[in-house]
Amino acid sequence: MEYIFVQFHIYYFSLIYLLIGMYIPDISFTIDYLSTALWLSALGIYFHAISITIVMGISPLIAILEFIGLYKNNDLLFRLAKKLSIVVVVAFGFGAATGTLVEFGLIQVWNTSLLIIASFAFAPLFFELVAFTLEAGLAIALVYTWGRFRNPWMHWLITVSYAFGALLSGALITSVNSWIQVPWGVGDLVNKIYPWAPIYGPQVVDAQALLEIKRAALRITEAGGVFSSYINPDVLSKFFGEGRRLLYDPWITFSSPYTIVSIYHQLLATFIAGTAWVLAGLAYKILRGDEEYIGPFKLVASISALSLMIQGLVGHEMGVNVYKYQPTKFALLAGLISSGPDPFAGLTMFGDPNYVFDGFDRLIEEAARGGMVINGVNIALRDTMAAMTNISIIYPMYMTKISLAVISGLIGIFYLICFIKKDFLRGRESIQFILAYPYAFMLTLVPILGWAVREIGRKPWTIYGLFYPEEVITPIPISHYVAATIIGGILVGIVLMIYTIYRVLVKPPSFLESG
Amino acid sequence: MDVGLALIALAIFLLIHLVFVNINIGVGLFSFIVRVKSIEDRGLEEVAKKAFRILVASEFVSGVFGTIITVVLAGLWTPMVNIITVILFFPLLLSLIGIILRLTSIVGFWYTWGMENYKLHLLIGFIMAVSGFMIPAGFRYIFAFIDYPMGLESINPVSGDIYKAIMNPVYPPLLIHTWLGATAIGLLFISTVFAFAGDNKVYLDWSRWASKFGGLATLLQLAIGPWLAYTLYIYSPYMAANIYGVILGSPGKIMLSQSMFLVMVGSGLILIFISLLYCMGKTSRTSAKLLAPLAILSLIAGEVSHDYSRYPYMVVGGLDGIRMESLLNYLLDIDSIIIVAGLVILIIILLVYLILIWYIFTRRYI
Repeated sequence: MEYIFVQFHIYYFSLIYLLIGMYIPDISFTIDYLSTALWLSALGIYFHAISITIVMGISPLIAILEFIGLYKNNDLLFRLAKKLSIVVVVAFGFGAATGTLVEFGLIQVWNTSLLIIASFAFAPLFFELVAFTLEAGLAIALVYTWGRFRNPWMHWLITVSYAFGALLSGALITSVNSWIQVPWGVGDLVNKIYPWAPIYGPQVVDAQALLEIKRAALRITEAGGVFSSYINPDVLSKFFGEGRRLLYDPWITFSSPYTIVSIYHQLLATFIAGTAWVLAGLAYKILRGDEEYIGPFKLVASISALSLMIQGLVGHEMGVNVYKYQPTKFALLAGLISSGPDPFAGLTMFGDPNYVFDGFDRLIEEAARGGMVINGVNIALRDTMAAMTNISIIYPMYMTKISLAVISGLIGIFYLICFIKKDFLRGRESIQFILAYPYAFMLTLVPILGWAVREIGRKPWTIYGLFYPEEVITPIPISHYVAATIIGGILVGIVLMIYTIYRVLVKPPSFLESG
Repeated sequence: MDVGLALIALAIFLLIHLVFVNINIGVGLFSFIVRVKSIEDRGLEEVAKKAFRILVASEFVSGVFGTIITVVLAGLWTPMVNIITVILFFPLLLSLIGIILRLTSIVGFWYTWGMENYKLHLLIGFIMAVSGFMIPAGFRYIFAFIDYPMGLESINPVSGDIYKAIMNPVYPPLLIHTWLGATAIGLLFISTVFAFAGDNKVYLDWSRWASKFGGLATLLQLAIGPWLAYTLYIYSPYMAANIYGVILGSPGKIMLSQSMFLVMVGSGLILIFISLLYCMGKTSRTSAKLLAPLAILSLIAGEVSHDYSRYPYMVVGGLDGIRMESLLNYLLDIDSIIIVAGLVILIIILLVYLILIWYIFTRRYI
């Protein structure tokens, strides 16, 4: 009986094997899965960013519109807020899906990141669960309780709580990304490897263990192995256990100055993009003859323009932090192959347009002089030179981003002037509505380019100064079939999301009127 | 990190997740079936819509708790997650695609209701219903793997045969058992909810319909049980002894697993009996109110019985396995108060959410 049972399984699974074997490629099929994985991750994050921008960018705007709508008894603003809340919840559904994709991408494709999730990122991610639960729980209440409270301010409280949950979630995820950018809490460890690196806060790690892990990662990767395969109970118990830990302060991520500025910068960027998209939608309605939306247009344009002005200041602080904590990235942004002045940066940061910033020449010199030699290689020198190769990508990308941000800022100033000086346009008011399209387009491109600069700018490392992508990747080859399957799933999802938002905005089903 | 607390945190989050995920998979199927039938009888659209509202409410809970489980696993059971993500790369991919399709099609199905092109709406509904079943199709490999780690060749370095892992013999009976269970729980839940809808004949008729097929699915699940039991007996004898020991006359060490197994079978038999009487019209709608609680009790008892039978191992191989404490996160000291506080806050939010949903569904004004 037992024999027959086991034989049945063998037969049964041979059939499945045949079927699945057609799908799962031979390992030799994959030539370079590191590059495939990087592209796939970037794509997943950008698709996720679409819904993030709608949810995090538009939900605070809904709270503002609803507040003014209630305070001034303005039914139009109230209806607009309600319609936007449905768009936000549709996007939230898609965002939850792509967020899961990004989450699994992290632990499944970039396995070594488990070391970070289980240490530096644990506290932010654990509290992000609370924010996400709040956000998800209130999403339904946000849509279904419009007009159902005897006191309408109760609904506004739900909107505010929802927006708070969304922004808190974004802030906590940004803090994790910021730690990858600037590994705060490792003290002088990175500086010991790369002499040009600053001190990253107090040393709250077992630096010796981390350095040993780094050496092992290098040795294994250079021998053609995959380091993430060594994240296992046998290896970890050799380094940790019996009172020895990798990290001694789980809250350290929150005390990084880079993290705090990054949170403000990212949240404002999504808010500005979200308001710009709403502005473009309102302009579309107005240009098609729906003039009742002129009032909301002016309100949203003013909010957007003022936020853009604040972002200018926050962006400056972000630049200062990049200068302080990511020397190679700063050299890339400023296009400094050779040390020299950057008049704008010098003037805004030090009040001196002739201030000489370190370029790659000096960083390389420092790396050559005092860089750490691991396994016979001066990795500081090798990596600094590798970072420099990205200058042809990052510098023009950053300059384009800044130019677009400046043009958008000028449009924002133009809007404010129009609204303050009522007769400024003298019968040519349609200009301000037409301008909303390039404004929205540019403010979509700016965060896209900004994120690319942030991510590519920290290369060749995944964790700045500590680990490379090849030390973090899964041992399972990411074939083109796998990539195509994931992209296919995302595309079906995004088509459904866009179609649904289109339906909600253009042809809403009648039952939506009652929520 | 205390192994007991890590285990309790995982167990609580997992059980909450499983209750809601089973409800919404079955309710999704029900809503789609009624929507198809509403093409001939437009009056049924309201029934399908009402069921779908329940699905959306439960999907939010199951989705959020699914995310919570992922973070808890990665944060507290770090080495285990690495082993699973390497060996079960492709099954997890299947679930991932299922999640993307499921969440987007749920939103799409709701907001395209009433569109002129009903065939497109049905297609979105079909994707919604089928993708619900795709998700456990991937994740059940994890349970099959920790019951019998087929494909795992080495822990250090983590390596194995990812093809072999797909052929895990524990997987087919476990998956079919899960699918039938999800169908049963969803239908029985709907049967109970619709039984609360007063004397509205349409809802009562569909309550009885759901009871009939929910009871039938439970019966089939019981029929599949011996296959699963025998598979565990062959491939994971340690677990089999702990779960079925009492019946086989050679009790295992874990009495909780054995008693929970009996609770699961007992509540399953009672609910089959009640559902059959109810669908045949032999009992009033009051009896249907017992169906959902019994189905949920059966699910919880079954999961506790199955999962606790591995103790003290997290991954069982034959008569022993990999002990739980060796798969814990030792990279940092996680203060127990953080875990307890997180657990309490999340459960409070869940309760507030459920109360709010109750008010939204039952009251015109709040």
